[in-house]
Amino acid sequence: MFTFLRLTTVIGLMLLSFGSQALSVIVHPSNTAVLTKSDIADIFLGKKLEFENGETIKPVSLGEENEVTLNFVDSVLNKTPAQLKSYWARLIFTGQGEPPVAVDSEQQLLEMVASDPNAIGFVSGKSPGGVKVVAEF
Amino acid sequence: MKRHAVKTKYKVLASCCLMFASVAQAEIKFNGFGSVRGTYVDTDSIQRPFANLPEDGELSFKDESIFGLQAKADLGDGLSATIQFTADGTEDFDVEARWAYISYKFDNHYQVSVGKFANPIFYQSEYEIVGYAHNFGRLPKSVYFGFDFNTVEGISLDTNHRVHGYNISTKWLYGNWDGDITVASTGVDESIGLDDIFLGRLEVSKDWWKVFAGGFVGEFTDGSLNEFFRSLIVPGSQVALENGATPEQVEQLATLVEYQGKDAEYWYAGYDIDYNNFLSSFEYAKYDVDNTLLTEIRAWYLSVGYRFSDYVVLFRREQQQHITNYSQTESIQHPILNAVARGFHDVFAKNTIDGIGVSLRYDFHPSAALKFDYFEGEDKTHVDGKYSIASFGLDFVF
Repeated sequence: MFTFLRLTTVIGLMLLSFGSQALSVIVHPSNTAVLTKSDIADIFLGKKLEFENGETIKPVSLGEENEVTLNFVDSVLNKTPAQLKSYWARLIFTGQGEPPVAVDSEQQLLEMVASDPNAIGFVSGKSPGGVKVVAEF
Repeated sequence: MKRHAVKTKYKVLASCCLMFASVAQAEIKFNGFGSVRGTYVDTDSIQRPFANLPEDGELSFKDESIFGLQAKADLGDGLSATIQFTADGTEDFDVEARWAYISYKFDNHYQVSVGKFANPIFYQSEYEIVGYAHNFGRLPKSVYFGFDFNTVEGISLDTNHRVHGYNISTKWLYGNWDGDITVASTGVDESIGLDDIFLGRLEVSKDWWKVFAGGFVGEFTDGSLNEFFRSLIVPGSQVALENGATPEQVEQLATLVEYQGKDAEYWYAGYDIDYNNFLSSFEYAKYDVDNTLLTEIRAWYLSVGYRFSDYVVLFRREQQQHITNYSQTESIQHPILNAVARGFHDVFAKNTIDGIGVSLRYDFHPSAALKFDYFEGEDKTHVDGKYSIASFGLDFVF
């Protein structure tokens, strides 16, 4: 019985690790911002527009169908892709906001964040080089 | 003719904006939306329950279908020009420049816009025609009745602040509207205008909830709608004149039935919740035209629902009531004119919307959703009876 429980636990943990890819939210190495999950969600929803030092935040995203984006939208924004698209439709067609700039690859995103002190983005994996990780999910 | 001239004016303005943007090599973003919907109405009454819906027993793919294309040119340094074209099924898909405005963003908190843009009469009015932007098959008709003055020419200020994690946004607007209102009983467009529109809106939100309130005041201008209302009391006035009423008393009644120079007030408040896939929204609206025999209108809807992955199901209860108040008729001394005044008031007081509905949304595609909506209500406008409206269609954005 004990062996069976241990086996199911291990299988469960393995499934969990396969099911959700690790995610890092990254900023420029010089950025000293301390951000909660709620802050990060508000940044990528266009609600939080400035860092505490008053600088305008430049959120950068990957394509909307990218697996990393889908993971971010689900685990950080707590929304479905359609829910997010509906949210941005409301803002776009009332002239009140634009979704984050989207780039084609994680490499491009890393380069953008590494070169702009006000940029923030998300990539797969943990601790990518050349940028500062402010949160992991 | 006048409306055509206004449309042409905005088409020219739109072209100029985009040409200017093109010359300046500005970045132009195009976004679009659309809804293709089949609607079927079944009613016991002699008239359709709402304007812009098909007749009894008819399936229409036109009345609730619309396409829109928006171009926004970023001119740099916070300046942008936006134009939105729509092709509405109720207008035979004639293309119209619905919005054309220039915005200047001072910073992350303040944005001023000048031109022709949406008149946010109620909370969701600005994106009322963008079906993809909400989960209903049709925004609740009790509140979103389909006012013709849903655009305005003027200046607006949008503010946006984040205080201790709460997002606080406001909208302030001053403008005018000039156009036609379709009279439900005749189906004829009558001209009218709204001057000196002052509008304000406040929205506070955090994570999964949002509360909002707003309203506007404006003064109705002259136009053929006033003559139409005056024509309704002509037969009764003739009888009154033959029975001792003075022309001054008849004019007193005529002044009470027309819109011209009267102040209109529209107010609303509500909430929106999206918590762990549980959805609920509520909006209460109240509006009135001062010093007329028209009724004060109070309307509300409450919806609850749940999101099951790609599916959203919403149930709603909605009501629109016209409040009977004979205070305006008390000053009419002549008994026949007084009876005409009360009759005029009673005709409007009979209009009600009272019913329940269900909407189902299925996000089958990254940019499109299928929607089904069924509404069942009671019609007391003409002959008491029940009606139902079923619609099925597709909403998309790009």
